[in-house]
Amino acid sequence: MSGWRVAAVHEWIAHDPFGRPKDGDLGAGVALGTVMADRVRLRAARGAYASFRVLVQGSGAYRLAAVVAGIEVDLAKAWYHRLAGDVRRWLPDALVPIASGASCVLPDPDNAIPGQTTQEFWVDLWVPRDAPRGARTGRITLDAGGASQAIPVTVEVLDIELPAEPTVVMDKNAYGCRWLERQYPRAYAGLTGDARWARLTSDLHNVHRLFHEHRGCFHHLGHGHSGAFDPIYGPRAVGAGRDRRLEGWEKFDALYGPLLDGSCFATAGPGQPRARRGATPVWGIYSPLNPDWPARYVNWGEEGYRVEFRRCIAEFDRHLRDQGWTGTKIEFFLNHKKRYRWFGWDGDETKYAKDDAYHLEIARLFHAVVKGSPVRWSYRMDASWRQGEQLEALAGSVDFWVCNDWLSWYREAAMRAVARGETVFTYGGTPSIAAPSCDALQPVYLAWARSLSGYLPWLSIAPGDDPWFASDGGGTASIYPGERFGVDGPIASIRLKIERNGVQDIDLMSLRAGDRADALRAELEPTIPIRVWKEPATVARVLDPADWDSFNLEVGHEPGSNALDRTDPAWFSAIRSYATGGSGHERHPPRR
Amino acid sequence: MSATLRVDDIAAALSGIARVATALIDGDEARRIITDRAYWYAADPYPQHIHLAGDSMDFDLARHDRMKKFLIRLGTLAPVRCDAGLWVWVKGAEHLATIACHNGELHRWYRFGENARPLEPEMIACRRGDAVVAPPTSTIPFVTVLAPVRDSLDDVVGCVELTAADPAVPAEKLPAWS
Repeated sequence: MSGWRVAAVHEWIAHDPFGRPKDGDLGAGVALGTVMADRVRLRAARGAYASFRVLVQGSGAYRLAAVVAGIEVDLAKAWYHRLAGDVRRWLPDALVPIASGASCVLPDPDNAIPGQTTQEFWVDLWVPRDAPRGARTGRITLDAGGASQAIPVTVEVLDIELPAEPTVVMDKNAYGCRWLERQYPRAYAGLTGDARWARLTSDLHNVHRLFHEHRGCFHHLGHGHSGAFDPIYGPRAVGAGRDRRLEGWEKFDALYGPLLDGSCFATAGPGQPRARRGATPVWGIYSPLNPDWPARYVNWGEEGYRVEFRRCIAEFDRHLRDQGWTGTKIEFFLNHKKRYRWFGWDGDETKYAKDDAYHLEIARLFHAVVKGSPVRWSYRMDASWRQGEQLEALAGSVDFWVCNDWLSWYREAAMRAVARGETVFTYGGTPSIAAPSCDALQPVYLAWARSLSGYLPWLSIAPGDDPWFASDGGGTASIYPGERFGVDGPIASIRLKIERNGVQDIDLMSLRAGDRADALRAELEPTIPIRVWKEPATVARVLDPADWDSFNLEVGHEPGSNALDRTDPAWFSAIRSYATGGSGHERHPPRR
Repeated sequence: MSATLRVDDIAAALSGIARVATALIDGDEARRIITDRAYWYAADPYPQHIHLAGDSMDFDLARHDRMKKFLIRLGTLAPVRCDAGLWVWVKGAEHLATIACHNGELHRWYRFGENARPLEPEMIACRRGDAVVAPPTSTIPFVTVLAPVRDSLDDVVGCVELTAADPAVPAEKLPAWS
C-alpha cells in the first residue's frame, strides 16, 4: 500500500487538500507532527455524538469504511471550497454524506484541485440512548492500492444521558423561502401553483430537520419589510373592520403543523443519517403578525385597527389551540426598519426613542388578546442601538429579546431581564470557513456564560452564488444545498458539526453542574480567554443612541458584527473535559 | 376583472389615479416627511461607510403615517393590485431622488437598502410637470405611472409612483420580499 496513508485528526483541526493544517487551528504548543494520530479514543454520553476527522493521503482509487460495535457511525466527505479571489486556497466545510466503504478517488475529479494529495472526512459516532456504559471498539479502514490500513477506534460510553432539549438554542435564521428555488434549480424547474408551494414546504422541513438534528433550531421569517408574505406563512385576512377574519389555513398548516407537533422530526431529510434527536416540537417560529397584517395599517391608531387586530389574533390563537399546537414559542416579531421606508418607525433595531411608543401600543393590544392562552405567544424584539434603555423601558411588553453583541455592555440590564423570566438571545454572524475551527464554539460558550437562552446568526442558509469554487467564506451559511451531489436537500457543514458538539458539551456540563451552574460559570470565566462582558465603546458612553452610527462606533456594518476574540484554539478543552466526565483541566487536543 | 385587463388599460387606470395624487398631495408636507439630517446624509453618502446614510434615516412619524395611509388608499382606486410610493428629490442634491414612503412589493426602481438614486429618465420627464407612463419591458415586469408632486411655489418636488404588475406575469412569481 505504498504511498497511501490514513490518519485521525481532532475535530477542531482542519487540513487543506495538501495536508496542511488550517491557519489558526494549531495552538502555539502543538507540534505539527503530533496532529495526525494512528488511533482514536473518545468519550461520549448516551444519546450524544462524538466526532473526529480522518485524512486520506495518496493517489488513485480507494475505499474508506468505518465501524464501531454498538455505535451508529456516519461518514461524510468534506468539500474543499475555493475562496473567491484566492485561487490557490481551499478549505473544507460542506459535508457530503457517503456510505461506509464507498469508492472515492484522489485527486477528487469533482472538487478539481490541481495536485490534491489529501482528502478530509468527518466521522460522527452516535451513542444509542440505551447503550450500556463501557468501551466500544471499532476501526476506520482504508482500502487502496490492493492493501488495507486501519485506525483503531475506542468510544467510552459514559454513564450519563444527553438531555432531550439543549441548554442554549443555536437558532439559525432565514428570510422567506424563495432562496430555495435558486439553490435547487433542477427541482423547481417548471413547478407552479400548489406543487411549487408544496415543494417549498417540503424543502423548508428538510432545513428544519437538519438543524434540529444538529441540536439547533431554524427560523424563517415569512413577512418582508412591507408586511407581505407568501401564502405558506399565513392564512388570508379578508373583510374589514368588524368583519375582518382569517381564511384558508391549508398551506400554513402544511408548513407549520409538522413543526408544531414535532412529527417533522421523526424522519431525516434526504441523504442524511436517520433522525435521532427525537420528534419534539420546534422551539420557536416567527408568526406572520406584522403592523399591516392581519389588521390593516391604513387604520393604525383608530378603533378599526384595534378591532381587526383583536378579532384576527383571537382567531389565530383559537386555531393553534384547536390543533393542540401549544409546545412552541409563537413569536410576534416586527422586522421592518425605517431605513427601508415602508414604515416610519423601526420595528427591528429601534434607533430612536420616539419609536418605542409604537411598540408599547402594539404589544399592549397583543398581550390583551393572548393573555391566558395556552399557546406560547411571545412579543419578540431584536434590539441593538437602544437595547440598554429598552431592556428597562419595554419590560413587560417584550418577553423575548434578541440583542446584538452590545448586550455585553449591559450586564445588569440583561440579568434583570433573565431574572424576570424573559428569554434573551444575542445575534451576530457565523464564523467564516477561513476562521479557526474553534470559532464556531464561541457563541455557544458566550450564551451559556452569560446565562442567556441562545444565539441567532442572522442568516444561516445563504452560502453565496458559487459556494464551491468562489466561496464568500460562508459567513451567512452553516448548511449547503445538496443538489450538486445528488442529495435532494441540504447538507451540513463542519462548522455546524463543531457547534453541535459544543452545545452537547454545554448540556452535559450543565447537567453535571446541577444547581452549581452559576458557580461553574464564575469558576470557568477566568480560565477561558474570551471576554464575556465588556466595557461600552466611548461613543456609547457619551452620545445618545440616536447619534450613534457605523462611523463613530467604528463598526463595518450596522449593529451586529461580532469581533471574536482570538484565542488558543484549544480554549474549549476545559468545557469538553468537564462535560465528558473529566476535571476540566485536560486539554484536547493534547499538547506534547 | 383584472384578468382581462391589458397593459394599456392598466396604464390608463393608473393615469387617472395619478391625477388624483397630483391634486391632493401637498409637496411641502411631502418634503418634510424625511428629517433634514437624513437628507444631509442621503445627499452626501460616505463611500467608506456605506451604512451611514441608512443609520441616519429618520422621519417625522406623524407625516410618514399620514402619507402611508394616503398612498394605501390611493392604491385601492386601481382595478388591479397597485402599490404606491412617494419619491422626493433630496434636499441639497436635487439630482437625486429618494423614497420617502411606500407600500407593498411592486416597485419599478427601488432597490432594497438604497438611500438615493439619480433621477430616472421618467422622473426627469415627470419633473417637467406631466404624468409619465412607463410600460413593462423585457426585464421589468411592471406597468408604472409617475404623478408629479408640487409644492406651494408650483415646483415639482417629487413624484408618486403607481406600479402594477404586467398582467402577463403569474401572480405567484411577483415578489413577496424585497
